[in-house]
Amino acid sequence: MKLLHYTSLRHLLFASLLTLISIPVFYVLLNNIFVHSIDRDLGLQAAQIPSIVSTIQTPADFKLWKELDNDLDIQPADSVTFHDKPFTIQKSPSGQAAEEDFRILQKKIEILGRPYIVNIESSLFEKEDLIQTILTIQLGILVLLLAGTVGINYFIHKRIWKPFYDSLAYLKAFNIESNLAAPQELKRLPISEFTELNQSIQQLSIRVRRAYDSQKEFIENASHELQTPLTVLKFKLELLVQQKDLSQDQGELIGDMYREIEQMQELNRHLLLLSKIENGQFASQETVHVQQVMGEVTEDLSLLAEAKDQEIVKESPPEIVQLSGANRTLFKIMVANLLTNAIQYSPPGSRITIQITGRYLLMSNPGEPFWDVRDSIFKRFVRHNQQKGNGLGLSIVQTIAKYLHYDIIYDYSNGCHQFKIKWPLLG
Amino acid sequence: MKILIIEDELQLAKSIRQYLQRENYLCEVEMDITEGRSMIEDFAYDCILLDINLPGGSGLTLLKELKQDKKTDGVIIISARDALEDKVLSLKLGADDYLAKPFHLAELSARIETVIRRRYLQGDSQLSYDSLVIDTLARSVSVDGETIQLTKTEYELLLFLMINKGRVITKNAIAEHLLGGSALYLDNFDIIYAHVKNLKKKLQSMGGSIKTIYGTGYKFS
Repeated sequence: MKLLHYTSLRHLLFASLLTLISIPVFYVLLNNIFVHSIDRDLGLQAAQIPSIVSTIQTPADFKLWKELDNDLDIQPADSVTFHDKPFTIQKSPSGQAAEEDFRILQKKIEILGRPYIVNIESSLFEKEDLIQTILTIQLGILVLLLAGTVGINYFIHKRIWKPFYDSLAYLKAFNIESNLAAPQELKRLPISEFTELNQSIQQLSIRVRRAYDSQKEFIENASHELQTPLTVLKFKLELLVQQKDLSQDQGELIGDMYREIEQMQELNRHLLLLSKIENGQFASQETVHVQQVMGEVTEDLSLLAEAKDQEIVKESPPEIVQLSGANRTLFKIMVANLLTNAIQYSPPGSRITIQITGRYLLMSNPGEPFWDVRDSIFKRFVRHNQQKGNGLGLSIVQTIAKYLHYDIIYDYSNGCHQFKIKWPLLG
Repeated sequence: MKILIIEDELQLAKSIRQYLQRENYLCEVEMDITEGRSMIEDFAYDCILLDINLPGGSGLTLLKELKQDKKTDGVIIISARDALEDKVLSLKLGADDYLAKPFHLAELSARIETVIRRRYLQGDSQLSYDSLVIDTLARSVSVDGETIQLTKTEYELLLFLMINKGRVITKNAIAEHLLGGSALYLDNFDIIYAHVKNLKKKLQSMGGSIKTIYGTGYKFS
C-alpha cells in the first residue's frame, strides 16, 4: 500500500467514524434542548393558570374556560394519575389519524372547592421537523468537511512527499557502475527531514562508490601483481623438468604443481578481464560476423571436444549474421566460454548443438540438470560437481552479454542445458 | 644466435636466459629502457625479447625507434597485459610476434626459432633432423624422402617438439600449444598421449626420436 493511500485511508476512516458518532450525539443533544425549551414554555403557561383560576367564580365560567382554551385538558383529580415532571405521550390530535408526540405538564388546581388536574400540552411535531432539518445540514457540512480534509490531505501529501519519492526513485535506479547523480535540491520544500535524507543518500552513494572502486582497483592490482611471481614459478618448474636425473614421481609432482599454477593464472586472467569489462575498457563499435567468430571458436576448441569424443553441430542461416556496435574480442570470449562450458558439462560422446539465427545464438548440450546451482548459475565462483575451472566462465559470459546489451537466458529442457544469447533486432 | 632480453623482472629474465642458453643462444639481459636502448644501438641481435612495461618508459617506444633506425633485429613483445590493443599495436609497429604472460618457455623458444628462421634463413623453410624433414612452407613432412600424411594436430605437435629439440616438453606446454587457453579444461592428457602415439607410428623409423619422459612429458632427440 502506498504511503499516500495509507494516510488518506486513515483520515477517511477517522472522519467517517466521527460522522457516525456525531449523528446520534447531535440528535440526542438537540432533542434535549428542544424538549427543555418546550418544558419551559409549558411551565410559563402553568404559571398563568392560578391567575385564571382566581377569576373563575361560577361553574359557567369554568365551562367557558374549558371550551376556550384548547391546549388545556382539565380533569377531576381522582380520574387521572398525577406526574410531577413533564412527560411525552403519543396520541392522535383531533381530526387526524396519525399519532403525534405531545409534551404534557400537569398541574394541580382547586376550582370551586374541588381538586382538578390541568394537563398543559404542546405538540412535538415541529420539533421533529426542525431536528431533521438541522441534522441534514449538519450531515452535509460533515460530508463536505470530510471530502475537503481528504482532498487537501491528498494534495498536500503529494507535494510534501515529492522529495521523498524523488529520493526513492534515485535509490531504485542506483547502479554502482553508472554515475547517476542524486536528486537535486532545486524546487524543494524547506523540510529539513527530506533535505537530510537526500544528503545522507548522496553521501552514502559516494561512500559506496568509493568502496566499490577501491575494491575493483584492489582486485585488478592484486591480479596483476600475482601474475609475475606465478610466471616466475612456472618458468622455474619448466627449468626443473629439464634435469636429467628426474624420477617419474618427481616429474609427476612437478606436473601437478604446474597445473595448479596454471589454474591460478587462469583465475587471475578472469578476474582481470572482469574488472576491465566493469571499468568499461572495451570499446563496442565493431561489427561482429557471428558465424565467422563461431567458426574460429569451434576450431579453437575442437581438440577439447575431441578429447571427450564430442561432436559440435552448427546450424546457421545462409545469410551472414552481423552485429554492429559490438566488440569482437568480448564476443569471442563470451561464445568460447559458453562452448567450453557446454563441453565440460556434457558427457563424453555427446552432441553439442549451436544454432545461429538473425535474433539469437542458442547453444545446447545434454547433461545432468544443475538443481543445486540453477538459480545462481551466472554467479561468480559457482561450480557444479567440482568441475574444472574457477567458476568465473559463465559470470564472464553474463557480464559481457550485459555489456553488449544482449539478453542471456538459461533453460533446461529435454535433458539439455540451453543457453540463449539474444541480441536486439538487426536493422 | 644472439638474443637480447629487455625485462625488468630479474627472475623472469634469468629463467628465460637459462632455458634458451641450452640451445647455443647467447643471451643478454637488460632491465630498463635506457640500458636496452644503448645495447640495441651498439649491437645487432637476432631476436629481441621486449617487455612493454619497463622502468623509464614503454617497450613499444624502443620498438618504434628500432624501426625508425631501419634495424632488422627480430622483435618479440612479451607483455603482462593480455590486451588485444597491445597485440595489434605491437604488430602494427613492426614486431614479429607478441606473447602475453604467462606463457611456457617452450612456447617462447618455438616463437623465437620461428622469428629467426623467417628473418634470416629466408627460402630455407626446411627443418630437419636425421632423415626427418619438415617443410614449414608447404607444411609437409617426410622421412627418408618419403612424404608422410599428418593431421593438422600431428603436424603442429611434431613441429613444436622438433623446435624444442633436446628439451623436455611438459604435457601442459604441449596441451597449451595445441589447445590454447582451453587446455586447462582438459580432464586428462589422454588426447595428447593418443596424438603422440599416432604420430610416432606414422613416423616409422623416426618415431623413436620422440621419447616419453614418464610423468612429465616428451622430448625430441
